[in-house]
Amino acid sequence: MTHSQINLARYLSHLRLLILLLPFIGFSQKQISGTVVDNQGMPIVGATVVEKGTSNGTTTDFDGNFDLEIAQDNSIVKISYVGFITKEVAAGSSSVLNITLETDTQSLEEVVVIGYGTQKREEVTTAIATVKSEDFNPGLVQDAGDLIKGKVAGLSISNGSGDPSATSNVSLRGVSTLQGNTQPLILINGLPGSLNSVAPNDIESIDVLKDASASAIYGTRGANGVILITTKSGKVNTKPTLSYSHYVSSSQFVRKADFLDAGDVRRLRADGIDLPQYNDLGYETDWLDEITRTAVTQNHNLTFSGGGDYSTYSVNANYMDQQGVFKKSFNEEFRIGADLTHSMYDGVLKFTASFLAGSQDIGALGDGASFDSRIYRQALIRNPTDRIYNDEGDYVQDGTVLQYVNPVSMIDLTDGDIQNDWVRLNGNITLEPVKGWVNNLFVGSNRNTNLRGFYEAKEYLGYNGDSRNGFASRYTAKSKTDLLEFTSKYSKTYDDHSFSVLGGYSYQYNVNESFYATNRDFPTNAFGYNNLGQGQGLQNGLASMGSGKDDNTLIGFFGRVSYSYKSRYNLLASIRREGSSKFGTNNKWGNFPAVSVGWNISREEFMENADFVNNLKLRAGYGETGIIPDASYLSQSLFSYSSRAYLNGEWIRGLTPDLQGGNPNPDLRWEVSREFNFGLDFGFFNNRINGSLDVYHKRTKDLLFDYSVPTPPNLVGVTKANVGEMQNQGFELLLNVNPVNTKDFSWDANITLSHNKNKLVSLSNDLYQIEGNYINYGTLSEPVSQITHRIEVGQPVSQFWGLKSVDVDFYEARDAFGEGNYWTIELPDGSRVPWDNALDTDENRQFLGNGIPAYNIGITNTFKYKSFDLSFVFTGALDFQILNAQRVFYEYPHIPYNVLNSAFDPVYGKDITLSNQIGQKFVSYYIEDGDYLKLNNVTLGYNFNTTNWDIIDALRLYVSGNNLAIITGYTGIDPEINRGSVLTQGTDDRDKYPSTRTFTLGLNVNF
Amino acid sequence: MLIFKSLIMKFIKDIKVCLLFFGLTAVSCTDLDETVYSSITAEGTTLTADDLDAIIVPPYASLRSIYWGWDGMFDVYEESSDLIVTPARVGIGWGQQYVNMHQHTWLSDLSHIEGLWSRTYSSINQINRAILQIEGLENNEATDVYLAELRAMRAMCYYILYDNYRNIPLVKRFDLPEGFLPEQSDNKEVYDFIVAELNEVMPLLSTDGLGSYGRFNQYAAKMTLAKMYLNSEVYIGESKWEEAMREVQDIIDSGEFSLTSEFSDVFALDNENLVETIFAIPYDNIEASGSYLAFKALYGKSRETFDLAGSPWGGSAGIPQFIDTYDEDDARLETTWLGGLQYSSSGAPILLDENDPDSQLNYTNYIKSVNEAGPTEGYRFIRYEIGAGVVATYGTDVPFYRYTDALMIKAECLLRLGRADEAASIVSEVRQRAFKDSDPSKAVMTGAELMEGSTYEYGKYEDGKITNYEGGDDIEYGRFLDELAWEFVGEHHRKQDLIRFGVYTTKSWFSHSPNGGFREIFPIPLSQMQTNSNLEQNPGY
Repeated sequence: MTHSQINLARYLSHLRLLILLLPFIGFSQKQISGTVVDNQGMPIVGATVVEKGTSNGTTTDFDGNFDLEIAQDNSIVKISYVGFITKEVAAGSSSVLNITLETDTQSLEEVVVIGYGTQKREEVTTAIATVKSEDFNPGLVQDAGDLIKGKVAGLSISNGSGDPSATSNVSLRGVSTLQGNTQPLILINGLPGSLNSVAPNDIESIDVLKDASASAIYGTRGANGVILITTKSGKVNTKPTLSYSHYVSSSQFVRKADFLDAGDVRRLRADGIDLPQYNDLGYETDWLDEITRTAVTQNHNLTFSGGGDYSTYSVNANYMDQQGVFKKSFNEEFRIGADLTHSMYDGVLKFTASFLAGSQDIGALGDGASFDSRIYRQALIRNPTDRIYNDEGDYVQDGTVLQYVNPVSMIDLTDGDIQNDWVRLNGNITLEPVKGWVNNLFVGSNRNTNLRGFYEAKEYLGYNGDSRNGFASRYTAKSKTDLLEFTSKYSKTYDDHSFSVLGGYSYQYNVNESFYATNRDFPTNAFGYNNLGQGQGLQNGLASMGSGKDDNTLIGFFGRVSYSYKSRYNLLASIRREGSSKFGTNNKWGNFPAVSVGWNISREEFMENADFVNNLKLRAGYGETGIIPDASYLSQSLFSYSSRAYLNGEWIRGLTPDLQGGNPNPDLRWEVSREFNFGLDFGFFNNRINGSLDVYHKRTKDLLFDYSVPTPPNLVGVTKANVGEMQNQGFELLLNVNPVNTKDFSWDANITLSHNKNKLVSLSNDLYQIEGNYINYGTLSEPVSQITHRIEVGQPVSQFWGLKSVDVDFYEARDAFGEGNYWTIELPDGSRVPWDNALDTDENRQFLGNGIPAYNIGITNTFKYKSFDLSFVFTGALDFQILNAQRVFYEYPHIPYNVLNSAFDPVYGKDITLSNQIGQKFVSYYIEDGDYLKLNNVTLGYNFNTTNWDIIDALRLYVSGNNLAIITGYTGIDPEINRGSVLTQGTDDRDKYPSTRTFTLGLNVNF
Repeated sequence: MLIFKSLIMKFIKDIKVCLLFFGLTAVSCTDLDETVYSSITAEGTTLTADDLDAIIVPPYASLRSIYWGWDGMFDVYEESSDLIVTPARVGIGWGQQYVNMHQHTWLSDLSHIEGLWSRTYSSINQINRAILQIEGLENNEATDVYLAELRAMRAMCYYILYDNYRNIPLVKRFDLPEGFLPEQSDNKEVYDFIVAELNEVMPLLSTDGLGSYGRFNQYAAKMTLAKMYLNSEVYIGESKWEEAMREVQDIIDSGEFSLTSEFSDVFALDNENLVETIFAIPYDNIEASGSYLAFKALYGKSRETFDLAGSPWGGSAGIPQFIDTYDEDDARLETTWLGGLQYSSSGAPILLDENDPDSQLNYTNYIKSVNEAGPTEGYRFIRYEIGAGVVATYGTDVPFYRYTDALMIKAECLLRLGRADEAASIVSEVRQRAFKDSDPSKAVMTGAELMEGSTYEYGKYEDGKITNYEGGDDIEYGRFLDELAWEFVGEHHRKQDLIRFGVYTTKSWFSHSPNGGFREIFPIPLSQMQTNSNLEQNPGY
């Protein structure tokens, strides 16, 4: 294992040494004074005047005057005030400084990345959120999603897993697809990728195209929004800078499920509580403890950049070594990114090349998976009075209980590794033969390889108590995406009119190849997965092998025009005509138009006297976007030789339909989303209050769904078809407030709030009909085996569907049930009946809540006091329910497995236990309100005074904590649950890799 | 660090080379054609006579999932009957669907009901497609035989559907217009189709019994016809005992089949090419495993008895009232059921708690109730030989139609035609294997005995006691029904037999009590009703 570990104590001692080595600062003092005014000569009250590189400073008084004692003559004085451009003045020999600050039009002039170009913030007419690197979340950051969690209204980012290799699950403006991809399109410097492709430290900014009028330029991939990640690049004529940052983190489970420990078992037995088939074996083992640890993460990042007159460069290297809380679970990543630009002939010709490479090594606890949830499950349910090893030193196993394996043996006796490597190359040539006419040729390639190995030792006992006498598998895959894009843009300004026209062509080719082999029955464990041929399984017909290849092509033509009158009236219109090889022969090409307008009210003449208004803009937009099916070839009739039959005395292979997604459908096409968006941007009081409000209405039709079709005439009972219709509407609010801003102390608050309401409008058309317009979905695994969700026309998706329990009562013996305590079930007509297995039918079930939060909130507060800064990030979700699956399975005392302590708590306030004849059942008792507010991150930083330091420009130390506190009524581990499945959200899986709480100590140095 | 630095330097130096590399090779501007690599496309493939075997493989392969797919044909015919139950076991689980099967409280979404329909129709679709493919071949003499074989198989699939759902759509072609939704044919139409189809293709089918092992030969077709006639009274209200007898007589007269000397041979691990097997669904441990019965029936610790490579899941068991009907000398009791104290393959007692010598695994002929069964309650079905080293599924062939079945059909027809003594001599012949090692005299049955009622003590069973005694005396030919149970338990017989003898929806057993005569046929599965508006639900549902 290349996976190295770090000793926290050693790290701390290094850090102490560094601080001791800091040069001592000596100074001679000098008194200066002055006045700060704006360009109209009006005094600026409360402007900050600081001696640069120190915390020494003051603020201007009511007349704009200040007095300051500075260290020495050559000190630089920095004057700043919100809404104005910060000015730096050399104190020199004069002791009086009269300073005029220019209004900061930068915040308005700021450019926003909009896809195939940029746009002035002021002229933006669509819903675009931008988060710059200085506003990113600090702390242990696993991927780009963590950086902007809670910062973009409407963008729901959840991880909910402590798995170090898990990436954030991102969705924008609710669920708008039943089956297609829900992840937004992620482009890194224009090339498709994932949140994990680029080191978080290498990211300059993240722009999120939220509404369809913004994302329609990306056609069939735009319906879930687009996340544009721009990496850092050098700047012309800047001196070389080098910065190094480092952090070390330690993580533990945020909460542990409260199962019985050995003491609990003995106490309960002593109290005479019946624990059937659950013997006190006389030992004490904390099983979860045995397979987990405090996980340590270290991260090193080095960036250097600079630029001359014609060229710039920027290179970022990042190394992260992250342990998982489960033993053998880890994620080690090395990522390097470089960006070079060169400009010739006075900027007529420009070249850009960027390069991103990464190598990731993940510990695999399962065959091809970073985590084997069964190990966790076994640790929870194993008898705490049992022991790990018997007297002979062998793992204690127990074959009498179904699917009951020693978890320590499961973790010890497997060895797995997943390696991902990626290289992303972009080249860009820009030719501007005439001022304003920019031609751009972009070529990029993204190559990913995956190599996995997994070995199960000879002694390993499988879930059925079976042994394969050594099992090894190898898997490798390679995927490649090549992208060529040509754009030509002409921009011109006549007096007050400015316009631009853009036309482009995009060609994207993706190819995937894979190979795998397995073998078993090995003579020794010595080879691990490194010598597959040594297994006897191949000779015995128990080895397997496979390979595959598929490809697809996406071609787009697009155009966009923008027009602006005095930046007051703005218009943007675009269209993309796009085709994909994945679509059926009858529907290869589609058009995706968009138009949006903006009225910059603050630029109107009548607003001139409204000084407190810095920005007021109304926006409206409409756009059509698409979602593409995941797999290739869904429209074709394919065959392979995969079935076998015994004919004429031998087993022969037959020509079998290759039905990956069901029956072939030549009419297959994209889902279409039509979205209206209305927005308001505002900035008041020198932008000390600013933000935006967006309201949207989005209707998706031709939803891709696996329709049940009658098996005659269809070959299989499923066809993927474009039928349904769904509606999402809601609002998003972003509010930035700067309530306090003095020399020593400032407070910035950033609040995002979003609300989404989802409704399934239709599931049928002429060809595909669903009787009753509903489909039950999602099942809890055996022995519960009950439906949990229903999607129904007129309802939102992810509705819980089941029996409503209202009480537990004693009932006399009934048909096949003895007397005992049973759930009291309230039927839809209001009548109350005792639990009966036969009750669990659609006639008696009801909607029991919804698993998708109606509201998401993010609150960031940043306080600065002299050299200290402190930030809090809260995230929360409101108005949704969670099915606590752990309780369903383990809050029932009559099972031969360990149970939750709460299994002995009163049920509906009654101190009784459920009859042992019911079995574990899903009823509404286990559905809880999921509302939560989570203290996602707290960071306390200290910026050193580096004025007199020769080598170091800036030095910052910080401590940070993630997932520190949760305010919630939810009794499970973490109400921020996995949100992978679209249709069955809200189920908190009993085996979820529990989320972690992390403490981080970090340092950033600029040289 | 040094490595890092040199890497960067090298990168900067190489950047010009890289830029050249970026140029893409020629791409076609708007070409969206798909290239398929790891499959073959229907359009791009021309089939020839050489592909005939490959074409008929999928239909044959699909029969395996009808039979041993989860909740497949085995379970459908046994779990709703008075022989086998899969109760909810304390500490183990097992779902509600098995309880519903037992208590006849199923709804149209029950997985047995959904599964049998979709799997059987899937086979019919595979057959229709194979027929279309063969019809599209260049003229070839061999194709007629293949087409006849496929049509006969399809008729058997329709017989399975007809037996369970009765009002079913007949889909006879694969190339149907888009949007085509099948309509149900009426009962008589389906009946006539199956009979006519089998008769029509009969002359073309193979008459080589052993040589066509695993393939649908003439005898398999005759067995299917015989089953249709045997149940004719139930199906169309018209008895056809003579016709049924005629079909099995042809099989008997062919001389291709005979009884094996040992009953257990039929279910041995290697039961291929047996003289007793008329039509087999072949399985193989490596090529096509599928039978999971041992794992569904045995308790985990029984792995030590059979040297299994994994621990079974412990569900299904024999209904105590049925086990009680066996004659203690009947060898079929022991070859079919595992009961009593259990020992490992080396003869050591199997202890549930290693420290407690009194904890020996003991399968009791007692089950508390369908909702509350202990893990070791009930005898376990082990008729199919369980091989060492098995995990979950294994590859014993299913003797779908066997010679004994033909004999017993003949016996039943004789009995019903008033020729009880002739029937008794056949039954005696069949019983010989069961009693040859214990008390051969017990094998002999008289016509009068066969005319008696059933020995099965019907009635509601609670906690080991029969509470509402119904008995079996009143069942006409009940004694013969018992014979069928002992001989054919676990061979997709019981549901059909109980219906034919009027017991299925009239008697109580274990935790089951009658729940409506309409339950003789299953409802049309919910998913089919939801997707095909032409379908009409069966009466009563």
